Amino acid sequence: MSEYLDNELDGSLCREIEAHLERCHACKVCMTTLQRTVALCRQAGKAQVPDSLSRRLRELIGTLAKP
Amino acid sequence: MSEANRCPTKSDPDAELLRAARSDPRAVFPELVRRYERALYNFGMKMCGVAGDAEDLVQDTFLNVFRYLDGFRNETKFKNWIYRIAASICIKKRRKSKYAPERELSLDEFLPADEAAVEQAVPSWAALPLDRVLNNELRHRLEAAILELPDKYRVVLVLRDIEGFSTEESGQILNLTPANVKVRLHRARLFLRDRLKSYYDDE
Ligand SMILES: [Zn+2]
Repeated sequence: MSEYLDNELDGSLCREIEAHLERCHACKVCMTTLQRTVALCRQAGKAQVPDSLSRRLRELIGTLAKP
Repeated sequence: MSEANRCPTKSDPDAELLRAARSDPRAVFPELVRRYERALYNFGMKMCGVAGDAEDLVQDTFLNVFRYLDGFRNETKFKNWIYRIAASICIKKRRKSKYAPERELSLDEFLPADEAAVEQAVPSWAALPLDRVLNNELRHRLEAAILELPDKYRVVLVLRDIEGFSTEESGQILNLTPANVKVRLHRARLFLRDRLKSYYDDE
């Protein structure tokens, strides 16, 4: 199912699955909820870098820049 | 890195910066940080869940990136190489911090126990348009569920479904076969779906 969602199956297998999903309600529900789970992950927010980390990284670069 | 991990990297967006690094590595450190600090911090947050640990991970990653920069040989995209370092530091750290063996996620764990448990209709969290279900509460719920995943599944899910690496690339980063990446990813997704589902069932 994940391979289907990720377009990692070849065409004929893909069409077989699609035909089955048309007929089988349980699998259709299964696939839809899995698809939504993946979509939600893709929407996960990106946090900004906190100032404390920026400071640490500047210090790191400063230390390494010393001869 | 083994021969198997080789792949053409003609279009590495960092190629120019890396060329500059050959004559003066230290001069490119600030730009490298600027390019990757946010991505790595977010990777760390998804993996560790705690800002302090995520910061440690980013710092240790850059320290190693700087230290081994001249060892980078374009076998892979530079970004993937950085994530390879970050992932291995992260996994090592997390292993050290706990003694319990990692739980395996089995497939039948997520299969309904009987016919009656099979859902009859697509639940609202999956049926409504994405922007209507995606609120802060759901975000937190999802983040908590990701942190509940055993490490080896979590790292695959984060690379594939959050960071957007391909199956192939994730395999290179983690030293896993593509088949292995797929199995872990699928189980991780089933686990998350299960968590989301029970959250909505309890409502
Ligand atoms: Zn079916």
